[in-house]
Amino acid sequence: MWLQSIVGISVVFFALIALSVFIYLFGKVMADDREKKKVKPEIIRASDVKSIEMDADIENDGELIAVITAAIQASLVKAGISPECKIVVKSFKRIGNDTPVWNTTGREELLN
Amino acid sequence: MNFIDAIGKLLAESGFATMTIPQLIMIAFSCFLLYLGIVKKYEPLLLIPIAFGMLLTNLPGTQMYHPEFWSNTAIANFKPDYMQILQKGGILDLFYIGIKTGIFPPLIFLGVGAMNDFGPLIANPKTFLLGAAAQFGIFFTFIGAQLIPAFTIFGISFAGFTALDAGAIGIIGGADGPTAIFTATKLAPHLLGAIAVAAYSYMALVPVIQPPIMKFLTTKKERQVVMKQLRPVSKKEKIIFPIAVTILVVLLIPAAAPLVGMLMLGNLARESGVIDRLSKTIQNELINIVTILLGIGVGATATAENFLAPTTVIIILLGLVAFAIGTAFGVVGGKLMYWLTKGKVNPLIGSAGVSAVPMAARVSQKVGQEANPSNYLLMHAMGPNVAGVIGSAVAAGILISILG
Repeated sequence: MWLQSIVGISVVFFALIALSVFIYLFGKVMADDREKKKVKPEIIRASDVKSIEMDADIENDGELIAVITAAIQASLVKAGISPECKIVVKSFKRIGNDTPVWNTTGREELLN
Repeated sequence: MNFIDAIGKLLAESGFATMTIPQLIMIAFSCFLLYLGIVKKYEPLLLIPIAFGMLLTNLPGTQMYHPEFWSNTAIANFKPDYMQILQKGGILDLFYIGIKTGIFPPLIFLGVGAMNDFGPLIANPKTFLLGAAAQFGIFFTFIGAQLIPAFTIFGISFAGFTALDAGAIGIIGGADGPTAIFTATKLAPHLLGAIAVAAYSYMALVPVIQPPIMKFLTTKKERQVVMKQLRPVSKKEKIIFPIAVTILVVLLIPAAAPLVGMLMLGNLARESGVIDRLSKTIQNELINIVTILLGIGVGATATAENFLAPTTVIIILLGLVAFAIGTAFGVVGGKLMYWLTKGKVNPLIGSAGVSAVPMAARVSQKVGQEANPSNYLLMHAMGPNVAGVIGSAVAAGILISILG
């Protein structure tokens, strides 16, 4: 019983490691192929772009409030609601996101 | 025959007169499962057909399913007589042929293959290891089930599990319905009803069972890790993947061929791009038809005498243990990767190594987002998730070839 289990889990690991190595090597070969074919285009990856620090004091960030105010104003003007509306953003907070996660991921993938 | 006699005979033959208490309990239980399926939406696509099959098989006098055609403990090496089943069997006996002969679970796998994108796994093949780590639950439970001694409490006796029973129970830990059904029909057909109900219930309860285990085993810092975006996977890679996996896995474990072979054929149909019509049929009509027949057939085996036994309760508990251990080992595997990659892998994706596609991946995403609202782990978790499907099919093949 113990032996069977040890053999069993070892074979599972062996099989999946073998697959993993194969797919890894295959991916490398394919990548070399791709590099040879194309002149390397300049790629700006999401990881290269400095991510905005999410500090706890985000709600008091004057710059962010200014950006949000401007965005609201611009969209109101664009929509023709009020050409010279005067608004003041006093506070804001993150609200829950109820978009299905598959949609959000799809959107992210399109953006990146 | 006068009128009163005729009425009397009808009444005596009706289900109300012939119903036994265990049947009544089973009818109530199937109604409860229907409630879970319809109101609570626990895996309704399968739970509703299973529960309805259970209801039909336990209504007295229907002659829809005959357990005596399928197993007889008095005769050693009993083999079902298909001629008799075709001639005298009820409709549920006929549906069950597809399960007993091992046709339906591989067809479901064909559909699963056609519906899933293996891209995240190809982009990050390391996650194969997480799919393997989560299979520990299967083998732990395989040992655990055999260690339970025979006992008698309140006049109810339990004879202990054989190695074959234990193998079939352990596979619940793979959290993969079709694999569990496939393995149970090969190793312990008399436990099929209980194993299927346990497997599908736990798959439905993934969002309840997994998060506490995941949070217990990880620190907040680990859960906040943002993973690098996956590289794009070329069409060529996606096409070669199913072919290569089939050849490698089937050469290694021939008993896994029906499940892995069909899974990969389904995926090839999807990725090859030249048989869209077949791919669409596999993803929709075929898998839906098979799901209906499989569900009803599995439910039919849950007759009162089969299901209302101490073994059922023990199986359901062992299934939970198997599932929890699988999740825990997946997360521990994820932690190991976190350390080895110096914090580039979020350990939460490990829990998706139990198959349950795509619920387990969604749970990783949800728990990850709780720790860091801007984190998207979904696609990273799909890698171990589909690796888990391959892993549990491999584990099933191993158990069938060692024990069967």
